[in-house]
Amino acid sequence: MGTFILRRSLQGFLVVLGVTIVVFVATRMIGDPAQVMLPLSATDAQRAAFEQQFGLDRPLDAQFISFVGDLMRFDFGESLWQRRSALDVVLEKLPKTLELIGVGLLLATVIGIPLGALAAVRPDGLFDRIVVGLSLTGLSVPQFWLGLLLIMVFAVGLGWVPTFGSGSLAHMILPAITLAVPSMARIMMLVRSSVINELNQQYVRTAKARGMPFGRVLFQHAMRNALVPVLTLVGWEVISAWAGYTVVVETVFAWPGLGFTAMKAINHSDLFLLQAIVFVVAVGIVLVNIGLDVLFKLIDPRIKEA
Amino acid sequence: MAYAQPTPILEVRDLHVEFDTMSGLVQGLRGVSFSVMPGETLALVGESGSGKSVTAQAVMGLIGLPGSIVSGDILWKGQSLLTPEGQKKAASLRGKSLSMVFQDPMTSLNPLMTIGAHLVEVLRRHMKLSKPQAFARGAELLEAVGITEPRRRMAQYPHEFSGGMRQRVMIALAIACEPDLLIADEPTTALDVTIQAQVLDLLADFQKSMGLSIVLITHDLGIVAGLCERVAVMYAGSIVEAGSAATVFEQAEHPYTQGLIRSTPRLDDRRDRLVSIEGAPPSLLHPPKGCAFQSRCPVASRQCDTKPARQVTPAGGSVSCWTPSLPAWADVAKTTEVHAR
Repeated sequence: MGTFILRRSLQGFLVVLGVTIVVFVATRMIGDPAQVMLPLSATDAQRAAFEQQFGLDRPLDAQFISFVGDLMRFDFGESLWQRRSALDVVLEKLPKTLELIGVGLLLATVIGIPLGALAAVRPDGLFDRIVVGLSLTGLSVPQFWLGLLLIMVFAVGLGWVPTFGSGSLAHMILPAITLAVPSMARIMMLVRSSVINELNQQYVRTAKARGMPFGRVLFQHAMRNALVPVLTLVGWEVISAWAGYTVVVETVFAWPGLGFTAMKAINHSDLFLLQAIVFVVAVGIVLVNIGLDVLFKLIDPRIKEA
Repeated sequence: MAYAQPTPILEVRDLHVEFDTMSGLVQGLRGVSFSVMPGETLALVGESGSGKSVTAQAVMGLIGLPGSIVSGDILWKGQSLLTPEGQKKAASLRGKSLSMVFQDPMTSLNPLMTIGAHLVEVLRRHMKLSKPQAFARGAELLEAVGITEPRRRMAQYPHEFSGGMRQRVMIALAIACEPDLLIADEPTTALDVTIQAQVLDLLADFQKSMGLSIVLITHDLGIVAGLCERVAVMYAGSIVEAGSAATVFEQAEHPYTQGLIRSTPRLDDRRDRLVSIEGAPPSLLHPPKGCAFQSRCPVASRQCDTKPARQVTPAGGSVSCWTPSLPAWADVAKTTEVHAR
């Protein structure tokens, strides 16, 4: 297992290196940092001074070497908007986003998995139809619209929770639900079809023939096998929340996390801060993938080291 | 057979099972009756779709939607298993006194559970053993079915076992709680010929040492001859002939049984073509009103448009045919032979 994790980590390192190259090419070769970061009214002299300050006037290979060297030292430069180290800004916002993803996806799995499994017990039964209906609704609702709707009803209308910001558990409720709903819908659908599939397997019939009660057959036998594909989906949900959905949800609720900060960095043309965010997100995705691979190996003995 | 019989372990009476499918009601079983005495081995023989497995599933209480038992009765030691109290009784018998070995050992074990976990699960549930006791007993059972290093094997997963080994595990699971009756549904069909013999020997051994009754479902008459005392031949959802293995093989009464025996390849036969029974069994969606074998039977007559009643044969068996014991295939066999040369 140790060598397995080590090998996956090395592969992950290569992925991060690839991301670094893409970021460099996108910002320095395709785009022009001076054009992005300076106001339109900047003079040629201001432009030249800016380029000299950040070494943008040097040849590309020299720029790349110092770019990679800075990254190795976790030096992403200074956020022009915040006037402090970009990494500090990222590290300050990071816990807020992790908190949101954690609570949101916990909600999605804790509700989605049992409901999906129970729906699978009697496909096309009343309960199944209700669950499928809910899932389809959850899948069809645009996330930003759902967030605004929840604010209107529960924050503005009923006044139960604050409209935006963070700080207390009450602040957490609406953003977490908004993040959870589409994930929950997808998880519910997959658990349902996965459990239906497992319940039709021969080993389920033999377990019944050995006199195992239905609850045990469902939760001990079928669920364990059904959860293998579900784990893939949950991993995907973590990654897409981390690299996408939280940007929408945090922006709607002004949740001071990484996603909201990314939006602001874009608005402020803060290239260095954005680079730092992209890098941290890439590392996060790699870590989640390694974690998933380890979990798969623990759950399914048939997965060989490869 | 006038003297008092002991109560059969299992008795199936005029069982009808239907499946409500998209295309209509499929009559899976159309009046199946048989009984199994303590310590006896009964073979249920027939081609695919004749209702052998449906019979086994009905006895095990595994008929689920869209199938249902429409009429008839299943009795365990004289008590019905289909009444509400009987169903409770059946639930407590399943896996303990009444167990089953399935056809495909490759898919019959949970791929994410160790072999040991399977054994411990069933022993704890039915024998009320503690975890360590169940583990020790499980290892003994593995040894009993011929698996070496049982303690190490307990910790392994099904994918680390070969097909024959897995079927041995299935047998260990089936006999774990010392059952009275074991239903083996084509237990060797998915295995190599050499492994087949080993698995059958294993079943025969347990039958002798534990006084087990066995219902062996198979389409392989070779297996039947070696292992079973009695044979019931199924065709299109009902039993067409039953009797002791010796009499059924030596003087088959029903044309279908005769055809089956005739189409079993023999080493001492010089014919260089395999013989078959022409045609296919009738659809059970719209089964014929008369004898179901009529359309394939070489000696069918007008009489066969009405369903033949079950009658007792001189040898003590039973047969459902208007013209039993008529050698049905003699002429046909000759013409086939002529064609082959």
